[in-house]
This record gives sequence, structure tokens and C-alpha cells, in this order.
Amino acid sequence: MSNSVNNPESDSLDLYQRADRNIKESAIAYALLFCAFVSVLTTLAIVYVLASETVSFFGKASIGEFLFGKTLANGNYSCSWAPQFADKSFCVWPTVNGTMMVALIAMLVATPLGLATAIYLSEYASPRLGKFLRPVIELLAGVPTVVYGYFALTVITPILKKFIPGLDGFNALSAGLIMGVMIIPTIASISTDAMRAVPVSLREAAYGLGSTKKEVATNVVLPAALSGICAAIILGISRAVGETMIVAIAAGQRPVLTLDPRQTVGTMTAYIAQVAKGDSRVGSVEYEALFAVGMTLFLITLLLNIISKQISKRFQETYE
Amino acid sequence: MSNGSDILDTFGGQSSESKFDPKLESRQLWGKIFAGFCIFATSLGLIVLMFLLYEVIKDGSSRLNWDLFQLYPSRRPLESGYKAAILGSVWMLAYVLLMVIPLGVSSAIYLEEYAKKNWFSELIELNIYNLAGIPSIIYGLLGLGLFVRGLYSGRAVLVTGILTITLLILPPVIVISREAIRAVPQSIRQASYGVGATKWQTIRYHVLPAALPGILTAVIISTSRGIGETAPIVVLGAGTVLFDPKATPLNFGALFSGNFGELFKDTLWSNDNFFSVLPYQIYEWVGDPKPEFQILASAGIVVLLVLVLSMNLIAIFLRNRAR
Repeated sequence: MSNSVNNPESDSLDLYQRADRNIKESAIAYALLFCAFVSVLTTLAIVYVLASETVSFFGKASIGEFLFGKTLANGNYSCSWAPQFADKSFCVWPTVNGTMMVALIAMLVATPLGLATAIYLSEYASPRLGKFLRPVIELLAGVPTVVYGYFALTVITPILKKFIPGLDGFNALSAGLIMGVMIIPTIASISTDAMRAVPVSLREAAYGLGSTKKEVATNVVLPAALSGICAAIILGISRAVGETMIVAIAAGQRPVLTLDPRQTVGTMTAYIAQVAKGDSRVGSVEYEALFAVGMTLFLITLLLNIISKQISKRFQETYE
Repeated sequence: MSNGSDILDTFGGQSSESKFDPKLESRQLWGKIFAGFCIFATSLGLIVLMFLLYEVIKDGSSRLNWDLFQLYPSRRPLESGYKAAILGSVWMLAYVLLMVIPLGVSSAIYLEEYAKKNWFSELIELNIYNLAGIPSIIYGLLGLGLFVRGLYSGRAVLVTGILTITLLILPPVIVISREAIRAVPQSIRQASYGVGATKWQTIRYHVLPAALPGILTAVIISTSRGIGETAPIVVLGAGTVLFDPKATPLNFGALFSGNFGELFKDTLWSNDNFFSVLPYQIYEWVGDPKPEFQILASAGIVVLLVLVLSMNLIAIFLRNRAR
């Protein structure tokens, strides 16, 4: 092709080849566009699959009971989640409660430890040490979650049982603690980037006023990087809410309305895993309940991701 | 000059009227405590990882032998192994790579090099960002509705797993590949255009080779996550299988004997090609009350961790070389 371009005698040929070249170029552009479009199709398919089954679920169960519980024949209020039993009930809050409790424990672990890691990486560690440590910390996010689940169930729970009386074999506490370790890299990684983006001049000004290193880190760098840190924390919550295997293995599968972290709970994700594992008939209400819970989970994580993105976009401090 | 000495007086505490107290000792003590906490937090992850490795190797050591790779699951723990599950994971890894590399890299090239700044490209961009944040179990529901129910009328076969995991890791592959492509200096593109190359020639011969280490890092890290995923596989409805997964795309025996009617018989696409993967089989055995199965689960975890962590180490090595 390049030969003919250099050949002055084949002018017409050259023109044809240029036309070919243009066709080839635009064909490639369209092929690439199609590949990029696969991700849009994925989103549409997720929404379609979740929505269609959720709609038929609400044809059988009332949306009022799903959100607010029901009043029993004897006049008592009841909010429980048991679509797979003969005596069905469809109040989603016990599963949401389980999810929120485990996520809260996880964030109580991951936020301070993740931020301290980020401060160490951006303020204390030498660049060489930081370059070595960062991938090592990110390895923690690469460990398959089934491994964390096994670890929480067979190692952490027996250790905790020695100190905490009344701890169930499956409990929210050990699942939450280990989930926190899993989320440390998410928070540390994004926060480190945010802290490194804080200009050196701010730190120098603080040192000039006589601040110690700790005061520079907590009183200057931390507030200046706050938007990135908030985005990281919200992204961490979204991870915690969507995590399945740790809770399915170590937290149990009994959705109850409780605030006691020693108890067995059932999260939204654990419910989905549990019911999908047992073969439920297509078109049965427990099959459709799977997708209704999935839809709830999808909306919660989507909302968290959007908030995280907006925070990092809107409140991003720009330093010149 | 007089101002300067005033300040010195004040800070030196020589002036009796000043209430300023630098509290240097306590501040520096707090500084040391804080630094200690930061070091503790940073090393905690590593400590947990080491403790975890120690526990699973200790628990699983009695089953870490060749049988693990040669036996199929059984009700008797001592006669059980991970053969079908490991083969399932290996074939899944191969096919996921085969699909995610062209799809992911093409999307990244389109978004970075071709897309004009308009609502459409912004929509795709926002969409990919949000997809990357959706929990893996939701992808399992997608695969269940679309592939298992839609394509295979309720049968969780290997293809449905491959497609689901591909869609799951596509967004992170695109996001990280784009960063690698963006990091290629503009001058390289301009030099290529300057000697008369077309856009595609520029990308093919200059941008992609320069971005290759970064793209490989993206692909390897994301694929290692995909291979370790259990939740979507559970939702698809995979089960314990007692045979090797069929993985050839065509039945070559039928092809060479000219029996084209059976071209897809006993291949990857067959609707009896049920599968299991390593993390799923571990999950099954973690849930079993017999302690021998817990040992078996530990041994499986060692194999899984070796697979996943070595992929991560390769990726880190590539990334450090690229910088």
C-alpha cells in the first residue's frame, strides 16, 4: 500500500487505494463502536431482566407489604421475609437490615484503617517504599471472597467466641470484620490518590507555622482531600452492600430484624445466593422474589455509585 | 527588627504576659502514636494475609497432593478432589481471555481515540463507570435470566458461565485499558500522522504497542478477579459435576469424517456441558458439616490462592516494568 503512494505513475490506482483505505478506516471505527456498545447492551439487559421479573413478582405480592410489612389476622404487625416457605411473607426490610448491619461493621473497620494506610502511603512512606507497598495492599482486594468467607467462619468466629459470650456460629460480627479488611484497599487506594493531589505548598505552609507531621496530615492534608475521601468511603459502602460470599458463608441465612451483631443475620445477597442454589421453578414467586431483591440491591448500589461520582466531580478542589 | 525580637520573645516563652504554650512534648508524642497507628494499619492487611495463608496451608496440608487434581467430587471426602472444578476454571480463564481482550481493548480504543465529546460518548462512559460498581451477584442474575433461561432453557452450562464472567470483568478492563492508552504521549501519534499514517495505522503500530503493558495489567488483574468469583456462578445454578467439561469449540471428529450434522455434538456449546469452577466447589465443601470436607476446602483454597495471587504478581511485575 505504501509503495503505490510513493509511485507517481499510478495516480489513479493511488486514488482507489485511498478510497479503500477510507472504507477500511471507517469499518474499523464502526467495529470499535460496536464493542463499546456491548456495555450499553449489558446495562439494558440487566435492567430488563431485573425489571420484568420484579413486575411479575409484584403481580403476586403487594408492593405495600414489600416496603411496609403487613398486619396479621390477629391484628399484630409483622415484617418478615420468607417467600420460600408455605406461609409466605414478603417484607424486604429484614434482609436490608442484615446488609446494613454487616456493611456498618465493615465500614467501622475499613474507614479508619484505610485512611491511616492512605496517610502512611502519601505522607510517611518514602516513594520507593510506597511503590512497593501499594500493590501489596491491593493484593488484599484480589483475594477471592470465598476465601475470606472461609477465614471468617473457621478462624475469626472461633477466636471471637472466646471473648464474646452468646456469639452465634454464624454472625454478623466476624463477617463484618473480615469484610472490612477486604474493603481497606478500596478506601486506601482512592484516598492515597486524593491526598497526593494536595499541593506540597499547603504542607510547607503548615510546617512553616511549626506543625508536626501528624498535624499536617490530619489538619491540612485530610481536609484538603476530603472530597476524594468521601467518594472512597461511599464506594466502600457500595462494595460492602454488594458483597456476597463472606456473608453467605459466615453471617448465615436468616433474615431477622435485629441490631445485635452477635446474631445470625441474612443479607440481600446471601438470600439471593441461597435461593438460587436450591432449584426454584421459573415463574414461582420465590424465583421472582430473587429478582425483586436483586432490583433493590441494584438500585441501592447504583445510588451509592452515583453519589460517589458526583462528590468527586463537584467538590473536587482544584489547586493552581 | 524589633518585630522579629517580639515574636522570638513570645515563642520563646520569655515574655511573662504570653499565654502561648507550644506543648511540644505532647504534640510530638501524639505524632509518634499517630505514625505508629498508620504503620499498624498499613501492615495489618499484610498480617491478615499471612495469617490466612498460614491457616489454610496448615489445615489443608494433608490433602495437598496429586489426588487433589485427579479425583472428582464424591460423598466420601477422602476420595474427593477438584479435577472437574480446576478444569472448569482453566477453560473458563482461557475463553474469558479470548472474549474480554478484543471486546475490552476495542471499547477502550474507541472511547479514547475515536469518540467525539458529545452526549453519546458521555452516556457510554457514565454507563461503564456504573457497570463497574454493580455487585457481581447482579451479573449472576443477568446470566441466569439471559443465558441460562434464555439460551439454554434452564441449564447452567459452561458457556453461560463464560459469558457472565466476561460481562462482569469487561467494565474494569475498559476503564484501566483507557488509562494505559491515555498515558501514551500525544507526540507519538503526531509523529505517526506526520509520516502519513492513517488513524488505525497509528493506533495499531504505535499507540497499542506503547500501551500494551498497561493493557495486559488491566486484563490480568480483572481476569484474576473473575476467576475467583463465586457469587455469579452460584446464582447461575452450577452444581457438583463428576466429569470433565467439554471445551472444544467444534467436534473435530465429525468435521474430519464429514459428518457435519454432528459438528457441535459434545462441544463447548452442548446443552449437557454442566460445569463447576474451583471457587464454587470450595463453597460447596465449606458448607459441609464433615470436618474432612473443611480440610478439602482448605486445600482447594491453597490452589485457588496460588492461581489468583500469581496472576496478580505477574500484573504487578508488568506494571512496574511499564513505568
